[in-house]
Amino acid sequence: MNALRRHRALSRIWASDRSWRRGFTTVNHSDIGRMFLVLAVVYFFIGGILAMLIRAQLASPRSPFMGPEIYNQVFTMHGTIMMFLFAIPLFEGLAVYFLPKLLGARDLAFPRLTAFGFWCYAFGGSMLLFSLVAGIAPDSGWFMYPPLSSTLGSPGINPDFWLIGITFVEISAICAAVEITVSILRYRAAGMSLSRMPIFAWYALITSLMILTGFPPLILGSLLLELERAFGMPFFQVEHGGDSLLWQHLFWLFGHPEVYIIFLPAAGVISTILPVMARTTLLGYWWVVVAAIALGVLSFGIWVHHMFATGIPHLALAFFSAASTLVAVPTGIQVFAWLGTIWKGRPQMHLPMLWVVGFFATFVIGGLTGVMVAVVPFDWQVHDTAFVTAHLHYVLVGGFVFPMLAALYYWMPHMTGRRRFFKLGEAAFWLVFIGFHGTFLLMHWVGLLGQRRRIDTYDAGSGWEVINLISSVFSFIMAIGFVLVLIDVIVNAAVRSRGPRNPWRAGSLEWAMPIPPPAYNFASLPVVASRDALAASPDLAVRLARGEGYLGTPRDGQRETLTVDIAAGTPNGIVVYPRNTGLPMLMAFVTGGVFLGMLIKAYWLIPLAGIGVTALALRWVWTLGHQADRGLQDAGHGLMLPYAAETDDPPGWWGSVFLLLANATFFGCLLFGYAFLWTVAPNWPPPAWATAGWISLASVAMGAIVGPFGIRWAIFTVRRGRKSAVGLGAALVGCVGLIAGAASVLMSMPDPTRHAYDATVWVLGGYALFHAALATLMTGFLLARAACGFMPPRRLGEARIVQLWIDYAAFIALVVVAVTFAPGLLS
Amino acid sequence: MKDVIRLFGPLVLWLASFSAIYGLQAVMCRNGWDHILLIVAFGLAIALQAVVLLGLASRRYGASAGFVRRTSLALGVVGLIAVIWTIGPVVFLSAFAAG
Amino acid sequence: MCLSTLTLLLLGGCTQELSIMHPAGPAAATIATLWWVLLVGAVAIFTLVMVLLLLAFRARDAADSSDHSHERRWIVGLGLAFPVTVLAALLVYGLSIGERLMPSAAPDLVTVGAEARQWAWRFTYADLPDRETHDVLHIPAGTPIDVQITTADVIHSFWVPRLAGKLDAIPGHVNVLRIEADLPGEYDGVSAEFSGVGYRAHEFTVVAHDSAGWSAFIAGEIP
Repeated sequence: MNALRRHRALSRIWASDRSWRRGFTTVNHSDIGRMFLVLAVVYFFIGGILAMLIRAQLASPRSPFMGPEIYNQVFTMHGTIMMFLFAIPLFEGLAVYFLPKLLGARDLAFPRLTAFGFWCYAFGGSMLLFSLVAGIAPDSGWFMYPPLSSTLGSPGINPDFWLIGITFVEISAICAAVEITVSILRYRAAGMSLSRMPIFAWYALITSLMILTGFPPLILGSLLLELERAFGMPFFQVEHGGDSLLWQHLFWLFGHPEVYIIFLPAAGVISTILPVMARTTLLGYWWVVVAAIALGVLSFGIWVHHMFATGIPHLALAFFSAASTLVAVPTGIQVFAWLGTIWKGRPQMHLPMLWVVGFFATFVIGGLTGVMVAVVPFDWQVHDTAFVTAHLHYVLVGGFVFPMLAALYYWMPHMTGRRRFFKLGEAAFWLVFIGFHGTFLLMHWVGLLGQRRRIDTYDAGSGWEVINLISSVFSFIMAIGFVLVLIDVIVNAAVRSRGPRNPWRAGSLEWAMPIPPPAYNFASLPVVASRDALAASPDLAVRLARGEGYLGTPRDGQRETLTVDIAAGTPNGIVVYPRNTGLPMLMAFVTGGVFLGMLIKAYWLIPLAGIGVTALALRWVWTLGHQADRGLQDAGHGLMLPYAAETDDPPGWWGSVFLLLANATFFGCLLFGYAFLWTVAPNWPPPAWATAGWISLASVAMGAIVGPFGIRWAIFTVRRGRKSAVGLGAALVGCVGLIAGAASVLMSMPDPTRHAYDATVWVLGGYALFHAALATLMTGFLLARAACGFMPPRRLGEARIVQLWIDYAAFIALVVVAVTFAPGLLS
Repeated sequence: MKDVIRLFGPLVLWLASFSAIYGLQAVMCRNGWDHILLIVAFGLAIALQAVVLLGLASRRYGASAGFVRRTSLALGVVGLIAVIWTIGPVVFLSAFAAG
Repeated sequence: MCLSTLTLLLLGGCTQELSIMHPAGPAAATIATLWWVLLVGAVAIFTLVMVLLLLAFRARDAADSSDHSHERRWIVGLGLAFPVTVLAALLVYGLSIGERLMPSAAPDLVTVGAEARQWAWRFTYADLPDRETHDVLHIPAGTPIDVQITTADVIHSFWVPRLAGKLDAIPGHVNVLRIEADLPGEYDGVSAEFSGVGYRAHEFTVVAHDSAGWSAFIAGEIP
C-alpha cells in the first residue's frame, strides 16, 4: 500500500459525518478540540463585554450607568464566565486537540466521552447565558458566599443558575481530566517513556490530576448549598448547627488549585514554545518536571490564604502563609529555567515570542504581588480591595491569556496549514499589552488608597477618580487589541496562502504530519527514541506516511491506535475506537434534564432524566466488547499485540480508577465537612444522635463482605473456564445488603432540615445509597453480559471494572455507617 | 502506575500531614489541649516524610535507576522541606492567640 | 523620575481617609512600613528579572557553556537558592508582625462591640452597658481597643484602614480585632465584605476622643 492509498483508506475510516450532522455525531478529537476552542473564545468575548461594562461604570464617580442590582450581576458573571466557561474549556480544547498529536497517537482514550464533555459544557454554559440575558443572573460574587448567596441573602433564582449550571459544566472538566490522564499515561508512541514525553504532556497530566482532586470540593459545596436553598438543609446556617465558613473552606479548597489549574497549562505552553523560538532545548527539563509536580500538589495546601481575614487563629494562618510563600519557589524555578533557555539559545522575535515576553513582564509582577498578599498582616489591609483585583488580573491575564495567545500564533499554521501574511498581530499585541498595564497597574495603587472590590461606584472627592478613568480608557484600548487579534486570526485562517509544514522547525511530533492535520493524525504510528523525535529524524513525516511505523495497515475498517506501558512506553495493546455517534450529545442533553429539573423545581423531571441517563449509559457500554476472543493481532513489523479490551486492565479500568479518585475526593470532603461542623460550628451537639438497629449494621457488614468476595469469586471461576453465575449472584446479594444499610442511614434522619448533623447524615446516606445502587446496576449488567456470552476467560476487563465499583461502594458504606452511628453509640 | 505513586506520593503525604495538623490545631483550640501536642505531631510528620524518602531511595520500594528514580527522590526531598517549612511555625508561634 | 512625580501627584492630591499608606495607629503603621519594604523588594526583583530577560536577547556565540553549568547558575542559583532565602526572611518578618498585632493583655484595654447588618452598624460599649450608637464608634485615643465583631445577617467586615487591618463578621462567631488610634480625630471605616446592593454605602466613622472627651462620653454627655 503506498502513501496515497493509505491516506485515502485511513481518511475514509476516520472521517466524521458530512454536512450538518458533523458537529453532533463527531467523536474525533480534532473536531471536538476545535469546538471547545471556538466556544471558549466566544465566552471570552462575552466575559470581555461584561468587563467593558464594569469599566464604563467605574470610569466616573456616582455613575448612573448601572444600578447595583445590574452591576452585581455583571461583575459576578464576568468572573464566573472567565473562570469556568473560558479558561478551563480553553485548556480542555488545547489538550484535546494537541495531546494525541504530541504523544504520537491517533486519538484520546475515550472519544465518546470527549464529545459528551463538550456538550455538557455547551448546555451548562447556555443555562448561565440564559440567566444573563434574562436579567436573573447570579449576583452574589463569583465566589457566592452564604448567607448572602443562600435563602437569607438571595431568595430569588439567581444563585441557583450558578450552583446548577456550573456543576453541569464541571462534569465536562471531570470527563476531560479522566480522559487526559489516561491518554497521557497509556496512549503514547512506542518508546515514549515518561522521560521522553513532551513537557506539555507533563503539565497536562499534573493539571488533570489537579482537576480530579480540585473540582470535587466545589461540586460538594454547590450540592450542599443547593440542598440548603431548595430544601432547607442547614449546612451553612448557624442557628441549626451549620457554619458559613464551611462554604469558604470547600470553595477555596477548589478555588486555589483552580488558578494553578489555569496557570500550569500556560506554563506548559511557554515551556514548549520558548525553546523553539530560542532554537534550543528547554534548560533543566528534569527540574521543570519536579517543579511542576511540586507546584501542583503544594497548591492544594494554601487555600486558607483567601480567608486570612475571617478570624482563624494566627498559628493556623501561619501554616498557610508559609505554604503560600513556599509555592513561589517552584514557580521561580520555572521562570529562571525559561530565562536560562533564552540565554543559552539564539532567540528570534517572531510573534509568539512577543507574547512570551509580554507574559514575563506581566506574570512576574503578578507573582510578586502574590507573595505580598501571602504575608498575613499585609493581606489584612489589602484583602477585598482593588489591589487584589489588580493582582489576580496580572497573574491570570499575564499568566494564562498571554501564553495562550502565544500558543494561538504558534500553532495556527498547524491548525490551518496556512502561513500568516496579514500582519495585524504585532499591532494587536502592543494594544493589548499597553492597554492591560494601563488598566491594572495603577489599580494596585487605588486599592492601597482604600478602594474596595465589588463596589458599584464611588464618591467624587474620594481621590480615586483619576486612576479609575485611566483604567477605563486603557481597558478600551486593550479591548480593541483583542478584537484586532480576532480579526487577524479570522483573516489569516480564511485566506489561502499555503505554509511550510514545520515553519518553526520544532522537534515535537505534532509537526510530523500533513497540515492541516488529517482526521487520523499519523498514517502509521511512530517509534520514539528521544525527547525531540522529529529533530532526531527530520524525514519522520514522510516515513510515517509511507507506513514505516506501527498500525500502518487498516484492518477491517477499524479505527485503531496503540496503548503502551506507563513508565517505559513499550506497546502492549491495540485499541479500537467507536464510530461516529450522536449518543454523547443525546446523553448530555438528557443529563441536562436532571439539572433543569432542579433549577425550575420540576422535581419529577429528575428521576425521569435519571432513568434516561441510565438507559443511555447501558447502551453506551453494551456496544463495547465482543463475544469471542480475537487473540493477538499484527500491529505492524511483526509485533503481535492483544486488543486492549482483552487485557485485564483495559482503558476503561484506568478511567474508572481516576474517576474513583475524584469520587473519593468528594467523599473525603464530605467527611471533612462533617468533622468541621462538629468541631467549629456553634450549636453542636445536635438534638439527637442517629441510632442504628442491628439489622442495618448486619446488612452493611454482610454486603461489605459478600459483595467484594462475590465479584472476586466470579472472576476466579471464569478464569478457570467455568460459569460466573454463583459469584455474580453473591455479588448482587451483597450490593443489595449495602443498599439496605445505606437506606437505614437515610431513614434514621426523618427531618434533615432540623440540624446540620441531620442534613449531613442524610447526604452521607444518600451518597452510600447511590453507590450501592450503581454497584447493583453494574453487577446486573455483568450478569446480562455473562448470559449473552460476553465473558470468556480472556476478557475480564469489564468484571474487573465492576469489582472496583463494588469495592468502593462497600468501603464507603462501612465508613458512612461508622461515622453516622458512632457518636450515638459512644455517648 | 507505581511510578505515578512514587512521583506524587511524597507531596501527597505532606498535604495529608499538613491538613491533619491544621485540623488538630482547630480541635485543640476547642478542647483546650496542650500546645506540646502540636510539636509532637510536627515531629511525627517529619519522621513519616523521612521514612518515605528512605523508601524511595531503597532498592525494594524505590524505582530502578533513571528518570523516575531521580525525580521521585527529588520530590521526596521537596516533601521533607515542605513539612519543615510549612509546619515549622508551630515551634515559634503561640497556638491560640486569635483574632 | 516620571513614576515618582506621578506618585507624589497621586498621593498629594487625594483624600487619605481610607488609605493604608497614611496610618494613624500602631497596627496600621507597622503594616504601612511592611508595604514599603515589600514594594522596594518587589521592584528590585522585577528589575533583576527584566534585565536578565533583556540581556538574554543579546547576540552571542552558539555554545559558550554546557547545559550543566547553565543549570547550576540559573536553576539552582537563581531559581532555588535566591527565592528560598528571600522568602524565608520574608516569612519570618511577616509572621512576627502578625504575632505582635494579635490582641494581647493590656492594663488599660477598652472593649467595644460592633454588630453589622445589611447595611448599618450598631456599636456597644463594655464600659457603658446601656448605650449603643449607630454608624459612629467612639473610642479613647492612645488606648488599645478590642472590637468584638459580630453580624446579624450575612458576612460583613470591620475595616478602618488608617488604624488597623480588617476582620470579618461571621454569623455565629465573635471575632476580636485590636485597634488603636494614636491621636484624637475622626477615622473612616467601611465594611469590606460584599453584602449585596447596599454594600457600597455600608460605612461608619470612628471618633477617637482625648481623655476629657472620653470621660464625657462615658458620662453620657455625648449623643
